[in-house]
Amino acid sequence: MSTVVVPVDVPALPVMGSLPDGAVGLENDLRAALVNAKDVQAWAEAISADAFTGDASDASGHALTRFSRRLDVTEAALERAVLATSHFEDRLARLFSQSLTLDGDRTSLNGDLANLRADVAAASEADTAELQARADRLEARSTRLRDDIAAWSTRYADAEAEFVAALAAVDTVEEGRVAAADPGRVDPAVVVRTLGSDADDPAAVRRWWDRLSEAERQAVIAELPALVGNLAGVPVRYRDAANRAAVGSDVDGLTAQQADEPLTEQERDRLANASAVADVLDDYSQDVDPVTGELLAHLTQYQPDEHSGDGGVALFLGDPDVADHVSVYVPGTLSETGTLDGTIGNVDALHDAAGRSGDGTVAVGFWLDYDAPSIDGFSPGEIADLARVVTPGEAAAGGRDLADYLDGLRASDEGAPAHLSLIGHSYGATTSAYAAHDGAPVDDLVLLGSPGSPTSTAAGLTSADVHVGSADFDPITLLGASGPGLPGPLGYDPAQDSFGGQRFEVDPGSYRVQDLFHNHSSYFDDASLSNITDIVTGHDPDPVDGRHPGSYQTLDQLLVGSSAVSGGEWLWERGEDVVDGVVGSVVGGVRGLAEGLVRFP
Amino acid sequence: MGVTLDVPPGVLAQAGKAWDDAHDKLTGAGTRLGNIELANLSTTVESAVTTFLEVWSGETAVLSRQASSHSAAFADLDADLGLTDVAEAERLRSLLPFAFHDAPIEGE
Repeated sequence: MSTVVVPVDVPALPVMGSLPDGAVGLENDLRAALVNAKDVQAWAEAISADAFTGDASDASGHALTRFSRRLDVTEAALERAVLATSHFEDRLARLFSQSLTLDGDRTSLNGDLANLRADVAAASEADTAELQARADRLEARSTRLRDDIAAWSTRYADAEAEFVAALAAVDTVEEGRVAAADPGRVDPAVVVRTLGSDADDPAAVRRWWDRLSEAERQAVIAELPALVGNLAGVPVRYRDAANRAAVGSDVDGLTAQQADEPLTEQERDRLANASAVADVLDDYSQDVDPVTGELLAHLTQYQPDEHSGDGGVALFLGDPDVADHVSVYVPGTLSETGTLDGTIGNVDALHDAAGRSGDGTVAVGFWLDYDAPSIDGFSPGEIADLARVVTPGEAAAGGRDLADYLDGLRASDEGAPAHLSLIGHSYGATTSAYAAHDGAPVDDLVLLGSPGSPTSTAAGLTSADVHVGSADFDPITLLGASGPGLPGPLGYDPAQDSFGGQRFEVDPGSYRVQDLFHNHSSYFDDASLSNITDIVTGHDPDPVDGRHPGSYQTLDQLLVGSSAVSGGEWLWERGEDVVDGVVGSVVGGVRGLAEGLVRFP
Repeated sequence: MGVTLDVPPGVLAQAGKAWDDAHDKLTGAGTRLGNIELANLSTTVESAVTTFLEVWSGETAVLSRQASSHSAAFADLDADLGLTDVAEAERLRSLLPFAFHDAPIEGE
């Protein structure tokens, strides 16, 4: 037969020596150092001759002024480096995504070429013309693809060269002086003033941010990381950059301070909170988005001094601004910034499960920026006492802040609005219910192990779909009132059929008194996790019937029954104090709940 | 016989604390710059970054040492060592806010 000329395979793309996560890691470190340098320079400059309104002709002899001016040179060089690194990271992220597309095209084309070669090998003379036509079409595709890969390689080389040149432009002190004196240098105070009185309006914040140049954004982030990192409406990737800088500067500055003098209690709390968050970020430092190559974790809130030193923090796995499905988890009692392991474990499990569902891109985060009451030290026998020490006050206040946070996520969302779910556990469920009642813009509300909701019906709570996970042997879920009369200490039980939410299947839990708290902490396992995943990805969970009065064990029945079944062994191990606790709870439980009912506003 | 720098009560102690805070923060910044672990960057980029960091971590370290030295000058004063001469008084005055740049030095 005649010869069919089949094009050769398209070779693999050049390897990217620099990756987005490498650039963003450098950027975060540079910015953390810049924040501390800026803090010092701002102090020095404000009291230097340069800020003096009188005669400052003898400023050159003033050591503090000389110090301020010299530090300003370092600051200017770091500003340039941060901006250049941010720009480099953006370009690398685009190049990374493009490389995936090009490599997919290459794999497809090479597959078609292999098929053509096989067809040629099996063909007869009569097929030659048709096969050559196929080969010609593949040759054209190959040429276009090779051109695209060559252009991509050029863009990559340009990105590296321009970044290297930008750093080289400020890698001497003299060049730093030139950068410091640059009349085009951004004054962040001027930029922030353009925000005006719109800081409480996430949509207006988003519009303001969109109007800024990249240099202005970076200047504001480095100057005021605490503002930008917690400002609802600022895109999440910038909030993450600001909060990482704040965490890094806190760890660096306070660690250095600790080395030569004792920290105050507030400083110790701040360092502990910053270190805990830094540990989480470090744990995820190798996890990157498979599409963009950027870091997976995004720190969307960092307020280390809030809530009497417990701190406030929110973090996402994935980027909620671009994900199809966004879910925010609100943990409950015992939750604070310094103890994030359990919280991040639940988020990780849900992110992993939702990501594997294949129903679109997913971002799952937690929000822990409220004063969750502590029940540390309570034994199962003292659960009823919760009614005496836990009130809905913190949930109501937290709910308002949570609603604002969710408004911010809506404002910074890009493209089609994401499917947004809010998942509250324990006291976090009550807080989430308050947020929904305050108008939080969610599509689905998930209440896990809820001790109470502020309204007696789902319809009265929110227009979102309300889903309820409530284990039969979770004592905390039995604190809520069972009907539309007076509420319980934290409100109404959303698992009641009369509430009107959709209760879904969860493991009922162990019927042993020593396992009751564990039952309350097992919603991110097995069937429950599967159902939560369904909700997060826009599907219906497996439904079960809501509670009907008389058809389930109340709190007192559960405490008595589970103690009778397994209490002997457990009580024997723990001694007389616990015996008193269980007996007291049985006797006092009803009394405590009654007092809670009366006290409820 | 020592000399006296005539400034309001608390100004010297406040300045000493501020210089100490500056030292801590600049130490933190310099340590961060000096310990950055570069990863997933090409050799060319790493080289440029390393040069940059060497210059500015060094400069930050110099400024940190200056702040420490300035803080120590005020600490010596707290320890009742007093001001021994005009030159020392002028040095301390130079480390105060510029608003005190012409504070009287008395008792020479």
